[in-house]
Amino acid sequence: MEEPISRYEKIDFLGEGQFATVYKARDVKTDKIVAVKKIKIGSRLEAQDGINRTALREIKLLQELQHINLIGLLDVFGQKSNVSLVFDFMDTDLEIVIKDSSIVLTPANVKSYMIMTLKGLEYLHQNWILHRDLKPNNLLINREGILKIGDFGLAKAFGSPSRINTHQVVTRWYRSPELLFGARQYGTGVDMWAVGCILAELLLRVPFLPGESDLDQLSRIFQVFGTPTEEIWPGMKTLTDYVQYKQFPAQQLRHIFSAAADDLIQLLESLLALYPPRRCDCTQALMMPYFSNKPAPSLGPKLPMPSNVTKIEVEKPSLKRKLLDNIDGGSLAKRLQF
Amino acid sequence: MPYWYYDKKDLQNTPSFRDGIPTETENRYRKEGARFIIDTGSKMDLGYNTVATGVVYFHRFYMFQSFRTFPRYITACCCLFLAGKVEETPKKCKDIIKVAKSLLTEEKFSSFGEDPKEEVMTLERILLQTIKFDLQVEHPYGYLLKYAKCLKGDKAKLPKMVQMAWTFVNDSLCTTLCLQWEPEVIAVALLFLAGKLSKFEVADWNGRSAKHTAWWDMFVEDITMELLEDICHQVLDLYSPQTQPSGSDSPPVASSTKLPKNDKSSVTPPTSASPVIVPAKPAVTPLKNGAELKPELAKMDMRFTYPGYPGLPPYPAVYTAPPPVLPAHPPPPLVYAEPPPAPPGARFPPVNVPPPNFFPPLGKRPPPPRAPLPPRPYYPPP
Repeated sequence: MEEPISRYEKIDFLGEGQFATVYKARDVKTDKIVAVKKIKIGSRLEAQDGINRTALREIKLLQELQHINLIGLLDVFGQKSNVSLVFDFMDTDLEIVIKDSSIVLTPANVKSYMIMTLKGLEYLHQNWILHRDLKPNNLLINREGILKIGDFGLAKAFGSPSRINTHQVVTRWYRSPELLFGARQYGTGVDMWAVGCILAELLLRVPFLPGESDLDQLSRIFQVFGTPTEEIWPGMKTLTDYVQYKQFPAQQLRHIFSAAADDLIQLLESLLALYPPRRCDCTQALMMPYFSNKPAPSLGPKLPMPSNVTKIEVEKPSLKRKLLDNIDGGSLAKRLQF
Repeated sequence: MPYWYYDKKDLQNTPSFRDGIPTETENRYRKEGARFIIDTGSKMDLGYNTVATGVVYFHRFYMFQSFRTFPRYITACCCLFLAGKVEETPKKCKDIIKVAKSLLTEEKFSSFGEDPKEEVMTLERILLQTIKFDLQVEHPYGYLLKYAKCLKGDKAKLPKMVQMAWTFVNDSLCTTLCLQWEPEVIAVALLFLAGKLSKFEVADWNGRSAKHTAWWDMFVEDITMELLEDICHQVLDLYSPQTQPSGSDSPPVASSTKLPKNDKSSVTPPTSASPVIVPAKPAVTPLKNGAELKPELAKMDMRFTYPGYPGLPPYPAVYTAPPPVLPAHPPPPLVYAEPPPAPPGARFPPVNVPPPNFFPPLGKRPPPPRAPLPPRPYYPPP
């Protein structure tokens, strides 16, 4: 077996999550920059039940999925005491782009992000997998301007009609009304709703429905779309966590998104339909006029990047020189010990 | 992705074999480990999918590791533990160990060491690496139902036939078939076997075309009668009396404290409700069954003390012959009129048989491959 320890050379520490530590590393074999996600197994508390399920889901699902708009799992390796996943290295994510006030998002940029998101998600849904945690933070972007859906820790196969799922998925602000009402059987609609919220956030540059609690989340949804009636949403009252809300009137989306053209409003309305079966799926969404109307989506390299990403590119030669200097001085790049 | 299918020669030259464990013993260890996963899983209400995934991990694991290094029951627990997580039916490690303890003799459980949970956790990492992180496993069950739905014949017999095939698939987990053939092939073979045994005549099938000589040609191309029979025999061999007293010895670790032979478990036949306790294989069989693999079996094989079946040319005759008299169990009728009862010695009810209506609602799921879409009007992706 190949020795993986020496194959990936640690460059930088990228972040730490609940179950994993992520490093930027160089794949010595291919000279590619990758992200190495080291699953924590160390302490007893974290290792309550062995290798955690989010990591197993990522391994299981991503090994079988290949799409330009999904994060690629390049390798999985383990040492005696831990397991690491090697992913495509992604420079930034949509949350950073949205929050970066120095970036101007043109309608063409927004269209480009939406196409890439929907195409990745369409592939996922065609393979009977729900992502269940779509949010700007999980839409990763590399310096070529390719958006890839990442973090498959909550993703799951769907379609079995008898399967009971948990409704405690999706970050609250992107959670669909049926999940908030406690639906245990749901489908692609939960991801479509999240895409709708992300699109709205791209336009507003702030979260569209930032609920402070699950109840507040529903209330915010209904304040915009109107409290659904039995005609609008048949069977709503049978959902486990159904609660009656005050009757809010529906607002016109064109008043909230005053700068958006009609074709875009149409897409938003279709993605954010309250009654799940009326929500469009990815394929339908991609067929909508918005995507064939002008302006044309920006090509990858034309997409804006946060300043630090481009900076790295500019600084690259100087970094290299520094490294070379170091080698002269006898200190080699630190090896990553997994 | 690693390739997980081996031919019979490779299946003989395993790490355990190279470690001095005879093939027969290894096969018994595999059978016991698999059976133990099935029993533990059923006792914990795990579905057939999870159980089957665990067993496949188990078989794959021992293509790279020796039973001498890794005692089978602890590996079995670990496989079930991992399969539970992968198949989204997680069970706590300590609960699995608790059930394992209740199912195993004290002596067998001693292989779990002082801290069983820690042992299983440590093994999980080794297991993951050994099976090369290839977690997604397919099983014959889904194919079985899919194929059965295409068959046309006596409607009254069909459910029983599928039920029987399903049980054969359960039991096939105790063989190394999952290391030899894809789930589609196993499904076809065991449906074929169940069809013969329940006298279900396939009159016609949906999707029949002129080039199909038999119904299975539609599902697996180029499958030969020899192959079908070989697979059937590997499963049927499970029901013949065992060549070695099973489960009476300690795990094959260094110190071999042999218990007195013939504790009561030593005569337990495969416990899952075999729909048919099939007559022992005749001494002279016209059927190819990897016979070349067990040259010396004849000496020790108890089955040869049963009446053989004189001259058995056509295949079905094997199964329509009267059953032998088994000492421990009253001879069951060869073809059951009633649903198969659990064998008297079974400790647990039959495992993982499909629900009474036997055709689980497959639902309104449209087939995943969609019709080619019209060219999209939107611009090419950036």
